[in-house]
Amino acid sequence: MKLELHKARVRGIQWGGKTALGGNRVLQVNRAELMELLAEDGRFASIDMDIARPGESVRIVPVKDVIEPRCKIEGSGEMFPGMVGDVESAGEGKTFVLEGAAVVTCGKIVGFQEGIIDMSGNAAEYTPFSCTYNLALIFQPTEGLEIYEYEQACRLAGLKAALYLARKAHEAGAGADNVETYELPSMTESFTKFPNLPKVAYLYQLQTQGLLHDSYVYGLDAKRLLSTLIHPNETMDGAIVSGNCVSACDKNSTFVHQNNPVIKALYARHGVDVNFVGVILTNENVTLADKRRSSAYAVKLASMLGVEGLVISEEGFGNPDADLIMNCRRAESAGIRTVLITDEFAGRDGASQSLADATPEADAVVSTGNANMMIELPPVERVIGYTDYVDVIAGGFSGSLREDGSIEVELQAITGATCELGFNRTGAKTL
Amino acid sequence: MRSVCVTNNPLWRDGYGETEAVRVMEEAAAADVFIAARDLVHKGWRFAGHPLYGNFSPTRHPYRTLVLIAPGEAGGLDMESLALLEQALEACRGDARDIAAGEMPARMKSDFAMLDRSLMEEIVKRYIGRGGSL
Repeated sequence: MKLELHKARVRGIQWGGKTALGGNRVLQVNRAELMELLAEDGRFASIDMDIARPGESVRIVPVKDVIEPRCKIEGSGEMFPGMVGDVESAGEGKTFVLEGAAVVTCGKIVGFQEGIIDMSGNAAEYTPFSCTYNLALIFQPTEGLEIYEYEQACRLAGLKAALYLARKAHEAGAGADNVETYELPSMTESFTKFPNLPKVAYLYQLQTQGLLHDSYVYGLDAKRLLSTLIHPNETMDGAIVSGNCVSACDKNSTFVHQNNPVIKALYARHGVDVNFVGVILTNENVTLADKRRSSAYAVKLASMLGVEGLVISEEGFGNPDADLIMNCRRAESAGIRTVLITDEFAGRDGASQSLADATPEADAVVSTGNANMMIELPPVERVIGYTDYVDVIAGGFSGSLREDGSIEVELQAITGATCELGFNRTGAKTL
Repeated sequence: MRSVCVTNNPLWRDGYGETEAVRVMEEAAAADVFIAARDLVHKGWRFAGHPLYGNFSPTRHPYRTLVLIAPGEAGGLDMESLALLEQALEACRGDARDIAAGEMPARMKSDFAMLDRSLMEEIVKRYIGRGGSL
């Protein structure tokens, strides 16, 4: 399966009469046209739109999801299959990408809705979405709309907006600045192509505990999935969509699923020092029986693929740590070496136990940061959304929001700050 | 009785009432629910679900609902449940500035209760075996 990502670089964003990417690479958005599209969903009492650019004194809160504008321009399948696209398999052909732009959805789904993106200042150093030109959408539900419905309406509206931006820009003639090609041969070919390289797969844990903790694969609620295989290219066409609204620092937004750095890194090393043979999707459920079923099945799939190494990433903390460690222990027992990617909740002083579970077999672990670390956010000139519940979002505490508008919170409150797929602005590299 | 649900979330009264299988500890803190579960674990009961479900530290979420399965004929302490309990109690050690349930705005408290019930609805139905949804 071969996929080309045709990336048009976005260097600005503004309202305009026609949605298009200008020659100066400024994305113009026809506000009225987009509003009309989103208002087709009658579940919103009102929709606000705003723009946030890197470096501006702007805070977006509470962030629900972030989505990269993409659309299919050639090949079968549609963007965000099973959600706003048809359910046929995606991941091949050509996909147009507005690189550097993002749709950010905001809504008070619940009273403790969380997620902060600062476009400048010290907190901007921790969120990858301070570097994107953001179209923020703020949704107010109709009176009496149930939380499930509100969450779904916001989720779909964000996807529609991202698809709209990419499609309109492409139709208006935007060309790509660069083309990235991703191709893996069939497994039969893969297994014999690099006989001297270790076969490696990626075990991709999805947050699936329930309401506000959901992920979707081809539109299916992933907590109902038996662990399964997915082609890495399918993730780039939005086959995985986030419905996860909690723990802002380590929730994998749809943007991150579209741009999974683990998949990119394994592609980059494919044929160099590893033979990347595929991606196994698994979930993070609440019952211990469901956990055992998913873990046993995922590791069985890895064994059937004959892999020698498995990269395992998790989403969230606490309960998902149990899945991470269970997957590690089972894989190592099956003779498959593992590398785990997780963040830490090690207390504000960093001295407490980092994960809720541990095992001696977990001897290769990549940390993406301590979510309990304290951070001070300065006052900003403009707030998109609402700050009224900052005191009580995860990572906040009584007195977090000060009179001057500054905020003292744990890193946990910052969207994407300790992303467990490694989609971070901070990190370390071996030279 | 094969399973029991211990909780401090009053929403479980809807559809389940207050029975021997659903024990609602009104006004108790989340940590108190873990302590109630500890007593059962030490008598050989085991957790049906992970006690740290949901992406909220127990110091930030006022409600906790735990389902435990009765000891089998062999009895004895379930070491996995004991380990899960220890992890949960460790996670209860919050910062002094953590917000208390009593300080929360009413909408937030009711949303937390609803979320707690939603996350545990299926597991309670599966192990307690009856009731309804909100």
